[in-house]
Amino acid sequence: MNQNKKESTASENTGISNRHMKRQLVITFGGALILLLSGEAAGGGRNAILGIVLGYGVLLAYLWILVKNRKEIQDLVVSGNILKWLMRLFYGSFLVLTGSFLLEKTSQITKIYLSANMNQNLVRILILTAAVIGMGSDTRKRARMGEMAFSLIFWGFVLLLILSAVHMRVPDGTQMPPLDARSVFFYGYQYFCVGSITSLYPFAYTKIKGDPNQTWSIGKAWMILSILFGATVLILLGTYGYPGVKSMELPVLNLMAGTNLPGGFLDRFDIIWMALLLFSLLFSIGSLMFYCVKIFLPENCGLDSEKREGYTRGILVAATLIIWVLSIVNFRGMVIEDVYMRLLKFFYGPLFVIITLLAGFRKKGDQ
Amino acid sequence: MKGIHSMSEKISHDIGVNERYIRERCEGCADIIIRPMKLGAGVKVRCLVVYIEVAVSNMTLEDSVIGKLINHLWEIPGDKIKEFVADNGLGISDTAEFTEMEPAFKAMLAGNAIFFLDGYDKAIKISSKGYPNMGVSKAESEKVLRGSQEGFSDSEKVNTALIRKRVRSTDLKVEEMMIGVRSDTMVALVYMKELMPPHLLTEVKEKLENFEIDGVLDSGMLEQLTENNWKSPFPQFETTERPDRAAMEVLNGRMVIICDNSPMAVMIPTTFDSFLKVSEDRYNRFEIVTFQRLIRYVAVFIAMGLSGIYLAVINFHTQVVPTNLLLSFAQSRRGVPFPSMVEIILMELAFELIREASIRMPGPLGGTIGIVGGLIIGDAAVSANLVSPMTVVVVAVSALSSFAIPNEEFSAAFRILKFGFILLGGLFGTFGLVLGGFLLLGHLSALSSFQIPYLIPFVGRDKPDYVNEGDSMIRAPLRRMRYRPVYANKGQRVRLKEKKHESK
Repeated sequence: MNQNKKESTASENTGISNRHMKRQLVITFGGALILLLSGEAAGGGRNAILGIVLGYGVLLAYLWILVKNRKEIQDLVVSGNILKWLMRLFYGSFLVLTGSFLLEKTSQITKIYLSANMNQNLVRILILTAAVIGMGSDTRKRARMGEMAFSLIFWGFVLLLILSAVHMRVPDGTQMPPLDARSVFFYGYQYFCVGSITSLYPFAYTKIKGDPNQTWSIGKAWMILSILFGATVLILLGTYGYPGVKSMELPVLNLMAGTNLPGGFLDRFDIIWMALLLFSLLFSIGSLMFYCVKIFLPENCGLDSEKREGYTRGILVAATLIIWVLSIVNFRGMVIEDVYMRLLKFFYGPLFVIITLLAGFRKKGDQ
Repeated sequence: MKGIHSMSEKISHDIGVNERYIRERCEGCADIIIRPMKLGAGVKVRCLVVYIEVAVSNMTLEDSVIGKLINHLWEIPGDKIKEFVADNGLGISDTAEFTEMEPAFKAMLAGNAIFFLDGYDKAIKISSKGYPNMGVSKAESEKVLRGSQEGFSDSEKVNTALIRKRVRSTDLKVEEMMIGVRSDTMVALVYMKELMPPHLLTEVKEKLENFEIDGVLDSGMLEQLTENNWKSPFPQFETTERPDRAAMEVLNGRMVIICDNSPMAVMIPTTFDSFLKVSEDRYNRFEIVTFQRLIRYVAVFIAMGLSGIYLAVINFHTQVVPTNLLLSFAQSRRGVPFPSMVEIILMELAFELIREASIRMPGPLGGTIGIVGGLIIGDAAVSANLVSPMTVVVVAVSALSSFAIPNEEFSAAFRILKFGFILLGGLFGTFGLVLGGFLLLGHLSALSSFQIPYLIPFVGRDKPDYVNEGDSMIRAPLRRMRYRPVYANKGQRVRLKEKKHESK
């Protein structure tokens, strides 16, 4: 019999590929972008749409630099006694803050839309437990989860947008704020800051097959996300109009509730979109804890498997507890959702970029 | 764990020494026959035959191999017997010579007769029909409309022969090994040398040699002892009682493990998808097979989640269903004293009871139990307002779906998980179901069987050695199913190719 043109052993099937990475990125960011940021972006009208395009363009350039310097970024959490702990602290603090923000938002939405009579603290605990147990710390497991869930979540969102689009009218431009470079820059910067969270990826993927295509794979993932996000913003504006969107807290939930299936055999099926969103958010929260392990316990930290397993459990438990505590902390009336976006825009986002650039300079210096 | 007689004794020239040793070792074993004889014309030579009574029942008959040998030994001079046995003893049938007692005993305990001769320091194994077994019968748990009706028997030898009957190639290898310190169970590893990746054989052998156990009485014990993730409810070994399925999988590059005394062959590596295939899927047209497979996938989802979804909808998300249906739900529940979750759990447990009872009951009574359980208990429970008719419908559909899953062990995993989803759906609604779904996906993503991800081909499609075999949820036309699955050996992926005939 003829040999097959694609030859290699079956055991190689357990590797991680660019496709895995792309799919994971879409699921990790998809739910959070559509649910939490689309309303705010729609409130920016046409400026926000242009901002997304601008943000994506800048992000693409940044991703190119990031992929080029990924090895140096990986080294940051293992080299130098003080530097490695500073870096671990920086990235770790970002992960737990993001986790607690997402947890808070997810538990709020779950309580309002899915389990009205449940104690919110119980909801938080359940979400965290499921996220940490379901995701774990195995890179290949996460890759397979992402691959499996991608089609469901991606096509689910696409169907939501298609079904919502039938209710759209051409947005009334006169009701929107005029085109303004400052606003475009603001929304673009905000979108870029969210995208800069991708800076964490080098810690998890020390071995990705097909390395030369990494920039394009991550770029493609962000292109899919930008199209989904942009389309959601457009549909929100077309469906509710600029004033309508401004008056809603999370207009995408209203969008979900307003969709109808042809034939009308279900009265409302926003519950299905909610389930998809929740799934995506669980993936995001689980991913944050997964990254905690990768940052505090890098692949090349030189521990044997037994010790590693013990430390992994310890890190996951600690991250879970910190995220939970931060999500319930109320400091002088301020909760995590009041400060998170500001922290991302003015502290973590810029620092991600600075660290990546410094890693690049360090690489050049070494050469 | 050491065997009882791990120190092997040499077979002596003196048959008296051999006999004493055998009698001492077999003391209290009434089923082991130790028969001394004096054979030979003129000068008589002392001989000894040792065998298990039922396993070698026909040895005195003329047509048995050992019977013929003994009859012949009567006729030749006593001083020539030793020479005759040494020269011809191995030429008469499936025989073997032993210089030590331990292998001779193993051969005897495997159902053969052992022949000792005075002045000859070797024992001769003469095979016989072996232990009684059921023989080849109909495959009961994997019924098909099209294809062979043969099922595996209890005998490892018969089972390997049934595969060999279908794959008549010397590339089909059958490696035998003994497992079980006291049971000495024969286990056969059956594979196509060219098609199976070599690492699989090494890995399987390592796993089988990694434990010592008193006895292995069924392939199910081997499965549990060698599984990577033994805490998972999902089987990581696939079983079949159909030789045609086993032969097909051997041709796909998988290994089939056959355990003596078990009519179930174990196939590795295993994936989620392979559990939803049946042997006749290859024999029927692709359109109907695809449809049937989609039905099986839906059945998996319903068997596991329907009851939980029903509870989530009626307890938490009533807005989902149309008002008329909702009213019908409410009406059917009127007068039922239990909360809907208790109702569902009670009915599901009743169903499991009926299922368990019908399996354990003798043949004709099993069917009766099904009718009694399904009709009388269900109807009586509704009439007595213990459960609502809608609950009976939900539980019945869920039960029906669990029967539509071709593999019983695989179906059992979903039956167990169903109770988890009932609790999650009943207590937390859709939120709980999503949590359960996330945990389940995480668990399945972590599973692998001999380095093959459990969820292939839904994951890993971009791997360098992946080719679409066209035999997953959607089955391609047979002409297009050109490639073997991903677990076949590299370079041996092409299964089907058309012969090019030059037109003259």
